[in-house]
Amino acid sequence: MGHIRKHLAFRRDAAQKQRTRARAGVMSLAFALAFTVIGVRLGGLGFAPGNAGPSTSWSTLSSAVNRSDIVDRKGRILATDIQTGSLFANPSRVVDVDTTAEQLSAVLTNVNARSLRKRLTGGGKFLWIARGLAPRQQAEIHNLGLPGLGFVQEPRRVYPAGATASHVLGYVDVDNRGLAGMERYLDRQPGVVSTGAKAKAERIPVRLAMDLSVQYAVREELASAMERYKAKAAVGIVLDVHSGEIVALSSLPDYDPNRREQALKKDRFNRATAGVFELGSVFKVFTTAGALDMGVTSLDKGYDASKPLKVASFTINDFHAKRRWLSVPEIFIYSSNIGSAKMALDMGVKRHKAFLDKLGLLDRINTEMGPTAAPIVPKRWGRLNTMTIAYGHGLSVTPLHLASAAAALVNGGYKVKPTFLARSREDAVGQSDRVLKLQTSDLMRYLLRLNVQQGSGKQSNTAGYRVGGKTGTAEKVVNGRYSRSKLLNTYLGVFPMDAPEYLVLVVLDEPKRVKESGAGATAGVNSAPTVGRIIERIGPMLGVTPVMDRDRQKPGAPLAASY
Amino acid sequence: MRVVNLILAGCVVALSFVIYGQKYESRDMESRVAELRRAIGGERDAVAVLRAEWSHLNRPKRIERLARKHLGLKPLKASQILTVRQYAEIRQPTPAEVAARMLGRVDRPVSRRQAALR
Repeated sequence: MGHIRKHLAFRRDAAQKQRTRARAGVMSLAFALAFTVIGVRLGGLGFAPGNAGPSTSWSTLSSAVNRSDIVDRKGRILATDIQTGSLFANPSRVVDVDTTAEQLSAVLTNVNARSLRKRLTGGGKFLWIARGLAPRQQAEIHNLGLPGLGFVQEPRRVYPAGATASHVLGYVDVDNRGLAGMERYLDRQPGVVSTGAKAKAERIPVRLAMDLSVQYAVREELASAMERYKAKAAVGIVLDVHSGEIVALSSLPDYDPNRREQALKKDRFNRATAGVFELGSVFKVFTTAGALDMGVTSLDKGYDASKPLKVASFTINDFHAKRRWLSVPEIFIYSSNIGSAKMALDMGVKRHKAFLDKLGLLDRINTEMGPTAAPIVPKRWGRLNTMTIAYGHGLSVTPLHLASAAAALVNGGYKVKPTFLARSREDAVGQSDRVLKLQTSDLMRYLLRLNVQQGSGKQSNTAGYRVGGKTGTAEKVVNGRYSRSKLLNTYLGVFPMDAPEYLVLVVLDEPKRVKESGAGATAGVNSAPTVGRIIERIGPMLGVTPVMDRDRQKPGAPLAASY
Repeated sequence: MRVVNLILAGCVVALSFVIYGQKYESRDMESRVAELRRAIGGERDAVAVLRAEWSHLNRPKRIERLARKHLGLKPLKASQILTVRQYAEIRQPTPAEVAARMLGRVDRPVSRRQAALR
């Protein structure tokens, strides 16, 4: 019995020993593994990049955002961020409130000593004193050695070209956030505007369709036209008729975006996109194009314009009355209201309205800046409406509406969407629908050129650039009646007419009769020559080759003689 | 067994020295990186200011004023633009003519002797 027990005990012992050894093996393996993991992790931590540099707590104080640059189509800077110092105070650490307030107001002209003293005695731990200081002012304040003051580096938007492109660029608020124009568009794009120090990394600039030189030339010519003709306001648009790019857009009076408070004045709104006007006879381009496109008339047909057209109690008369039968080209170049009204009636009310709708004249245009003002369309569009709208009364649109719809008349018949961003002509054609027959567009080119050669657009002619165009002299509504003396003068110019590339639209608000314009104050004597001057300046910038009539004017002669 | 243990212990000591050294080196480099980053940031800000200033000085209004004042330039007229073919059609003056014209303009220097004879 005993030895059996002993034997059993031995066997139990052996089994236990074996189990223990296996357990120890597992344990040591586990430990080895754990230590390896810890070792690798430790080693890794040792080489991992730590918190580089001191904490960036100061920059988080700033609520300003960093923005991408805005550049023109050739890469010239229109808007950029620079780092400026913003001065703040910690009132609980300001030792001598009186001296601090006095010395600061001596350096910073726009800080009032008394109100600053009041704010500093109010307690608290943080208050802004002045933001966006120039480096020189920063240095001066630093040299005062006042305790309790500090600087935060903040981005600040600057517009190097000043007021030149103001209405397109818009402006930003004190925190560098876009409030208007393309600046507001930037805020709605992902990755273009951001906060914090990291955001300073290189960002892709936003490239506009605008050409700064063209924009400058347009604005200068508008400003001098406003002065010359004593106009209240002026709008100028240069549009690439194939790509829909807005190469220049100016609305005067404007503002310097570096001084945003100017933008808030009542008369500084962007008339090109936010103002709707009855633009007058320039609308006859749409009436004529519609009638030609639908085949209800042709250039060899005509209408009787011998006597005023009476509709109910309303009489339609011609400004340059010829009192005879007029052919379609004559109706166009003499700007006959009677003829145009009859032409529109031939189209029919429904088709006339549908045609204007197709050109986009009855709806808001959505641009990058946001939608334009809505056109004022008659609620009940009857025969009389069609007749007056045929010559541009009774339908109010923005100048941008006119420009973008007119582009389709001369570019071969495509409705291009106007854009403020750079875009290639190929892209634009791909996105555009045909709204007119090619043949209609060709006829419109002929008519527009004819109007400059023989009609009301003579003064827009610029040697070499084959300008075509149509005038519009609209009487403004004053106290519910059309005023004889308050005019809104439009000129729609296109060049070069043999293969149109650019459209130039000028609107002058209440130009007066002056010596230079001779008799009258119609669009033909003020808006038209303004367009002519603009084309003369921007033609070379846009690379349009002038073709000179060499028999009349020898371009080489003055050059060869000027040694 | 003991020998192996001793070697391993030696390795641990040696490795810890190496790691210690590496760690300090990397810390130095990190602070240098941070320093350089700050410097780059500063330079970038300075570049932004300079670019803004450059654009401001090159704004069309100023260039036009300067060109009118110092160079006597005016906006380009269409009649001043020629194609190569048009240029070729114009008879160009011969080098001799050009030289004659240029000499005609230049005042001939008067020598001291000539001046004395006058």
